[in-house]
Amino acid sequence: MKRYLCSIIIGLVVLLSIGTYYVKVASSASGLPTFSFKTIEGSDKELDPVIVQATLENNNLYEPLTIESNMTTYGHDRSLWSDRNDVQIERLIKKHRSFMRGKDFIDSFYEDDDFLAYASVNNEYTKSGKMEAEFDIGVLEKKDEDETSFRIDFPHQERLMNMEVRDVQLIHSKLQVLTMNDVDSSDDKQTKEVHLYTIDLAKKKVVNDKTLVSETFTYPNQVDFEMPVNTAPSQPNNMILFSMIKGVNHEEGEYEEKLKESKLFSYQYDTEKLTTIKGDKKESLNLDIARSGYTDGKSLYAIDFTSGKYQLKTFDISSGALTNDIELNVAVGKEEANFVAIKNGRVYFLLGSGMGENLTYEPAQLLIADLKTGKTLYKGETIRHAADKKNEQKIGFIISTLEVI
Amino acid sequence: MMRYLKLVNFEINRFSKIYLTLLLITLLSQFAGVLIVTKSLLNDAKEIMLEEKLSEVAYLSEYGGIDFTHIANTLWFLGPIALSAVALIFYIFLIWYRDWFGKNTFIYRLLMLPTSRLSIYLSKATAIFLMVLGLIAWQMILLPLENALFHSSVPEAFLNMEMSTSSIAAANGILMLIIPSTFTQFLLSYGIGLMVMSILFTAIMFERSFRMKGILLGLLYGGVAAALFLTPVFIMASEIFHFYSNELFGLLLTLGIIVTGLSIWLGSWLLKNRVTV
Repeated sequence: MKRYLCSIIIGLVVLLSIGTYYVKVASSASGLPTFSFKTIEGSDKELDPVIVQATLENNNLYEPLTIESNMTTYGHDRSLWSDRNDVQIERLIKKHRSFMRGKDFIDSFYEDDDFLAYASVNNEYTKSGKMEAEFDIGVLEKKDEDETSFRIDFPHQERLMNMEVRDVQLIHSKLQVLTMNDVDSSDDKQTKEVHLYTIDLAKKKVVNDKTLVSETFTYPNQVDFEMPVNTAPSQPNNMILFSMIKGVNHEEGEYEEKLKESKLFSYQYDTEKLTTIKGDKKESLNLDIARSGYTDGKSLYAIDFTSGKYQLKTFDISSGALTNDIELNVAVGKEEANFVAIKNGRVYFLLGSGMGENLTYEPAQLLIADLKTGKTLYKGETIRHAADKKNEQKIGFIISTLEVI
Repeated sequence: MMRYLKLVNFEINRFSKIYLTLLLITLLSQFAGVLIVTKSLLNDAKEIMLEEKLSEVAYLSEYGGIDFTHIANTLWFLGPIALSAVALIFYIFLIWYRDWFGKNTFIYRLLMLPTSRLSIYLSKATAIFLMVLGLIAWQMILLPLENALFHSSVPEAFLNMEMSTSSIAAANGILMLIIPSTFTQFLLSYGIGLMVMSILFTAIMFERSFRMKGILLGLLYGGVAAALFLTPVFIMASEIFHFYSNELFGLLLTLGIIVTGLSIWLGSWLLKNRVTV
């Protein structure tokens, strides 16, 4: 027996020490607090589609956590081999697993009852320093899961540096792909453009390349294109909003926006009409509102706080008129971080980030209201269930996103 | 089975002196590191406070206090870990070659044993793996003790925060590598380690079987094994096909088991049929 002492000791130490270590790690992880919503008003069924992502700071470690259907799951509980996509991509993967392989950018999708279409740009630089780019197109006929995909050369790729797909629509069996492009130039001048490419799916060809807006500038001036948050990026939309923000970089490194020279555009796919929205009438859609707003292709929704109350204003995109104005039934404190989602005919409004002054925990309030009538369907606030009282003070909690299925 | 265990024990005993030395060096160097680094950090703080005429509160608000991460990033702390790692990687080769080139060509006797050659192969692999885990276990025992020593030697005001053992391990790149933060990751990392070791063992068997030509064969085998294991990764990188994470994980796990099994089978086959003394 004595001869085996060395091996036996090593064996025992390995088992005991590694075993104890990981049992302790697991038990300290289960000692983390959980979070849920405490219902103040309405039915907690409304919470089912709500997903809140947050981060817990514990002892210098950052633990991502998700509150989904009112249950907390920690990042470390998810298996190592699970993908983490946004909820809309996740939903598409569940339905069309094979078609969705390698496709993960929601703005690149179009979905109606019959078709799911996809367009993205693959680009890479060759050894000679020139860029080669192609469209990666995929169409799925939902009825019989018939999949077509092909790649075609990107038109005029030699003059471009960077291109980004921002919207895809399928109109009369032609794919409309809206991109924002940076033009490659040898001199100081920079050019940014918004393009609309029409792709004939039967001929597998780009049949039209239309420049909607093109703007050239030189440093220290700057131009950026922006789009309001799309609440349903893959849904059929006939109209799209985008803004061109001009600004200047000051010598001290500060950037100043020149909103007077900036513009808001709308483009209608069926009539092919590009309109500059002036927004000079009182209470109508303008650049400021559009930048902070959420759109579903027909209306633009914006949270307004100017009257000292939280209001949700709805504007019709084609006419620019204010069509609805509802007051959100939340207590107004100081102006705080808020998260908005528009989905299922409802507005989801989360006020506060969970973190108050001095890094202490402060409940965030969630309001779910009917988009048309403004009727409160649910009201509640986050509540922390501490599993381990002694550590409670040192734990920081901060909400990062609100998603709704 | 008994023969295999006896062989494992025998291999461990043969390395025990160096192994104990490694454990001792780790213990002494890390504890000395805790004391010396803490002292020098506190001295530096005092010097700055004197020079800039700062009160303790003013100093702390400007420069901040200290915590265990300051210790864990020093050579005192990481040096012995690196030394042990190098020593064991080296021993993966030595555990075979000492039998050929040692004092009395021990391999004669080893191969004469009335036991399957597979147990000789496996006993050497087990010995090394057990010693690696032993070092990790040792570090897991030392960490909380060092942490306690650190706490008792730093005045409360200078302490940034109390860190748990697992947060110390997660805050340092090298510690995170040897002590993964979850048990699943631990199994996966050391599983990969086991696979790499079996490939190296088999490459050594090639060399022992065919000498100069064997080196080439060994390298070739290593390359083929790595390529086989990483095939799904290459497929993904070349954009031929996209795997979802769970598919990629499943494939890598299966390929890892196949490569390990193949290496062990091939290694012990070579040891049985081709190795020359």
